[in-house]
Amino acid sequence: MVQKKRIIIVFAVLNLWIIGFTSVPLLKTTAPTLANSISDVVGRTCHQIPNRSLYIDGSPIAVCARCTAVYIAGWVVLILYFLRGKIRLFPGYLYLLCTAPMILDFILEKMSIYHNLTAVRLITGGLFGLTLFHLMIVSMQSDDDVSLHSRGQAWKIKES
Amino acid sequence: MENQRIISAAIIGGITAAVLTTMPVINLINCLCCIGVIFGGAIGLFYYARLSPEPEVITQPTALTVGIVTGLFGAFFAVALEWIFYEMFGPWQIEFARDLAENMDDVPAYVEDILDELENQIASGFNWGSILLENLIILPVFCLVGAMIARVFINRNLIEKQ
Repeated sequence: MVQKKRIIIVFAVLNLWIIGFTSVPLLKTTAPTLANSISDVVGRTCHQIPNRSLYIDGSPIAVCARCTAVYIAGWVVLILYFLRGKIRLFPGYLYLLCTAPMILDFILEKMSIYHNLTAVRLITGGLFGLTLFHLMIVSMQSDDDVSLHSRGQAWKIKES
Repeated sequence: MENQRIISAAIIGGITAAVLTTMPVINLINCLCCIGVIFGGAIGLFYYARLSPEPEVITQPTALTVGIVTGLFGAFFAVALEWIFYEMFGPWQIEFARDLAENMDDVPAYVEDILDELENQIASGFNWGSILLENLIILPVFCLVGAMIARVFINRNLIEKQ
């Protein structure tokens, strides 16, 4: 099945990406050039501010806490897809509810109304990651769009 | 798929992505996992669907094509806008990063070194080649994500109308 193959490719790329940015602190002592190269590549998508990142072995990983949560949430969604075989679209307001905390957290922090914590960034980033990857997998899993229908409608389409 | 429709949609989406990537202050939105670029890709596909003479289901290859072409257009627009802002404000991003670093409690010494190095590079002129190369990789990927997500909502709206 072509769609499943595409999702497997996305999963493989995501795994490589996660292994890449988490291995940077470990590679810093053994292979600093490789660690710097990975950090450079990953740094194109993230600010990499050290005090906003998670630490492994005393060194910051190559993306911030929020981005880490997004990618880990994506990994969880993909695992759920492989376990269940199909992911169904949720009502639109659920996606908004999952995305709004991250935007709110960002705006309030930039306006200096409050200083967010790493845990908050992890949670809000994770919720956004679930939304992003869930929508992507729904879009990628089929071209017949049966998954976009409600349960009853999808059944009628399958029958016809 | 009609090429003219794809190009029109890609130009609109590309301009949106480029503005959200380069405009000072507004481009901070990309701290949220490049959400501005994702939005540009989504706008491209929404515009593509809107240009259709009658409502049609957007297939995966169409979303893929529109997303990637939007990103490619966006990359070139972003370099052009980056150059305009560089001419207007100079290396404002370095100044911004330096201000940010000064307001932090623990700033490792290497951050200062990186900022100095960047300042030296920028002083040697506008490095459009590396900016274009970077944009040509990042924008198509994130615009593709945006287009794939927009496809879900466009098709769902179409199904609901039917």
